[in-house]
Formats: sequence, structure tokens, C-alpha cells
Amino acid sequence: MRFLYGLSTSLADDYKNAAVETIMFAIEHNFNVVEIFCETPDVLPDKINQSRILEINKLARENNLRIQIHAPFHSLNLASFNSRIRKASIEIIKDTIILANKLRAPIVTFHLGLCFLPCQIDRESALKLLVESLGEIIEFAKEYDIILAMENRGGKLDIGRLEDLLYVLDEISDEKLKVTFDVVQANAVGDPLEYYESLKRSIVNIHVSDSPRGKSLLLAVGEGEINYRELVTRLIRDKIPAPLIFEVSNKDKAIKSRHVLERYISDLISE
Amino acid sequence: MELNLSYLDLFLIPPYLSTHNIENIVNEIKDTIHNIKFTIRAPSFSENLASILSSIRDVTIKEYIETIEIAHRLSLDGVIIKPGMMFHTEKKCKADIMKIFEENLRKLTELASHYGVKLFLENYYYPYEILRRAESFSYMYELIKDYENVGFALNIPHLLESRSSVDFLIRNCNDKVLSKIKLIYLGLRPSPWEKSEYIQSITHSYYEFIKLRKKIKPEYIVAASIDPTVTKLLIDYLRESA
Repeated sequence: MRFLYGLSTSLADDYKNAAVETIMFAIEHNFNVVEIFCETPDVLPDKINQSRILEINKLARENNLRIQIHAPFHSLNLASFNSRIRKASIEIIKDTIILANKLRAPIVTFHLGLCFLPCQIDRESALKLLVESLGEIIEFAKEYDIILAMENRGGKLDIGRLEDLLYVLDEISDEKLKVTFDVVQANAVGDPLEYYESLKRSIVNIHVSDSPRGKSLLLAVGEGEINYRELVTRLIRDKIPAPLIFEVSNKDKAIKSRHVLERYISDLISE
Repeated sequence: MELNLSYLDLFLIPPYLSTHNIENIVNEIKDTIHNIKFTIRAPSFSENLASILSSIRDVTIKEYIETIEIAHRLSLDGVIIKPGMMFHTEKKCKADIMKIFEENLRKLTELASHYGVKLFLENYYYPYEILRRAESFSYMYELIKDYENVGFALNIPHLLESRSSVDFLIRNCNDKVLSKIKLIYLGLRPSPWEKSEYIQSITHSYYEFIKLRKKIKPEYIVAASIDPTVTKLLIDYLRESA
């Protein structure tokens, strides 16, 4: 089994040219995937121009690079009690799906939402609203043949804990709804290996960075306390076909992370 | 009525309290408690005047304008808004985003002035908030100083949660900036707008208020909590100190 390694455009130095800058770096350093974070000014789903789309498609095609998409998430809330915010959030995800289709990206990663005061008092209703929002988005994604990958989150206000994802997967059993496993977000609130075991049947994408236990820093693999050696062993054992996307604090850490993971794999093979 | 209040701060949280039912609720309260004054908080959770996403900015502006219009129509004293948040992308594109933010804020301050409605900007505690610690009050003051009807709603629990304090605020903001604080929120840390069991923080919040009251004379003081016991306790403290 060979892993696909990828970079998030959140690594870019110049956010006004984040997608192309990251793609050029990925080509230069032989990465296989670029995950475009659609919250930078060059690729906002409702603002991106046609020439930028053509440029990204050309670079990806000529260099055999896979493109995938991360939807905007700040201020979005698919579980909001405020119907205006919820509708705006749904529309932004739909625009992102359309963009993914134009960029021939098979996966759109997205966040479920946030739990503010009304949700803190009545989480059950918030989750029902979330499922309703997702139903609409999944139907839309089907028209474009896009897989939606909900990301686990560990922030204080985030909806995205393991139990939230399992609830959603239980409520919506649809082949178009999968999971982006963010290892460091799982580490912030629990044991990443437990998250992995509970979610592995649905994982189609993995965000990789390292951190001390209980935190969500963006360190290179090996610089924190996450047991990546064991995680890689299980990914190979379970034949999980998910790219490993480095969401670290700079490009050097992405290269370092890939090097460390390849060493773990090499050790496994030699064992 | 039981607490003998002269003023209420309403928080628009759709669908519970929204543009659809606010008028009836205000009228009902006015019928029960004569001469009561009101301020109203615009929806303030995901709202962001500084978002890089135009649709989020548009929803925010729309909600804030509607709230100002409601205040005008129902003769409420003022409107409280959350100015905005600068996440990673917004920080990376700060110059462009701040232009958009300042333009949006100007629209709102002018509308509020036009209607004779007071507009108060509230501080929040997350690291990405535009109005958070003492230095951000000074920055924001420059944007609002020419508008007599525009000021700050100082949320003391938020101030404390952002590792700041009233002492720090007094040391770092001149008298003109401090005089713009027209409304004060007291409550539990981390926030009156979150579920909290940090009951001990009530006294901290109160003593910070006492320090500030020696320096300024706010027009409105709000005991804010989702727990009625906490609200009542705060009101008792405030009455004793008066």
C-alpha cells in the first residue's frame, strides 16, 4: 500500500495566491495532493475567476496532482438556530461543491458547526437542524458526484466530537457522506487511535500534524506526542485509502512530516 | 416586576426572540412595567462584519440594520453589536479586511445616528475578536469618536477572560476612550452568553465593576446570566453598592 501525501493551501505565505503557490511547491517537492482551503481570497467559492480555475486545472493535470477542497468554515454553522446563518452556511457549502466540480476535486471537507448559547441549552435540537442542513447539502453534492467529508473538531464551541460524527453517520447513512479524520483535533479532546477505530469505515481523508497530548498545535510529525507509528500501522492494516494531508505550520514541517512517516513505513516493511 | 427593574436588555436569539415576535414582547412588557427602558442586542454568535466571506458579512449587516430599525420603531434606547472577528485568513489580509470592516461599521453608525438610536460595540474574549483588550478599545475609539450616539458596551467577564482587567484598561486607555463606555455587562466568566458554572467569578466581575465606576458613569448596567439566581444575586450586589 502506497500513501498519497498532500499539502493544505493554509501553508501558503501569500494568501492572495495561496492555491497556485502551494501547487507549485507540491510539484517541486513531489507531493501527490493539494487540498485547497477555500477561505483565501484567490479561491473564495463565489468569487473565484475562470482564469484561476483554468490555471489550477492545467497545473494539476500536467503534473498528475490530485486536487481536493476544504470548504470555508469560520462563521459557518450548519446547526445554527438562526435560519439566516444556517441558510448562508448551506449556500456557501453548495458554492464550494460547484467549485469542487469545476476543479475536478472528488472530496469536499467541511465542518459541521458551532454550539453557541441556544445549542448549549438544547443540543438535541441543534443536531436535528444539522441533520436537516446536511440532507439538503448531500442531495446537492450527488448532482455533482462529490463526496462530502465532515471533519472531527475539538474546539470548545465546535460540533464535531466523536459522538457528534457518530450521531450524524447513524442518522444519515449515505455513501456520499464520509469523514475527514483530523488527527490533532482528535488529540485535543481524546485519543486519536480511539477516534480512528470508531470512524475508520468512513474515513476518506486525513489531516496530519502533531501536538502534545490534549492540544492541537500544528507541529511536524514526531515533534509532538501523537502515536503516528501505530496510526500508520493501522492504516496499512485496514487498507484505508485516504490521502494524508499535512496541515502544519509551515512547508518545512510538511516535508519533515512526510520523511518521518516514510521512515515508519520503511520500519514496518523491514519488520 | 418582582425585581423592580427600570431597564431591560433584550438579546435577539432567533427563533426564540426574533424580528417576528419582538414587537409583541416589548409591548407586553411595557404594559406590565410602565416607563421601563430597553436596549437590544443584535444576534451575535456567528455574525462577523469583518468576515472574508461576503455572504456572512451581508447577513450580519442585514441583522444589525434590522435591529437598529426595530430599536427606532419601538423607541428602544440602544443597540448592542459584536464588531467582528479576524480569523487566520482575515489577519493575513488585514489591510483589505479592515477597510471593509471600517466601511461596514460606518454604515451602521450613520444609520443609528440618523434614527437617534444609541449604538454600543461589545468586547468579546476569543483571541480573534476585533474588540477584545485595552488596545483594541483605543483603536475602535478612533472609528467612533465623531459619533455622539456610539459607544462601548464593556463586558467585564469577557474582559477578564481575555486576561485583561479594569486596571489594565484604565492604564492603557485615556479618559476620552473610557468615557465612551456607556453600558456595562456583569456576569459569570467566561461569558454571560455561554452556559457557565463558574459561580465564584461573580465577585471578581463585581469588584472590577466597582473599580471602573470610580472612573466613569455608565448609563446602563446589565446583570447578565442565563441563570436567574445569578442575575438576582448580581442585582442585589448592585443595589447594595448603590
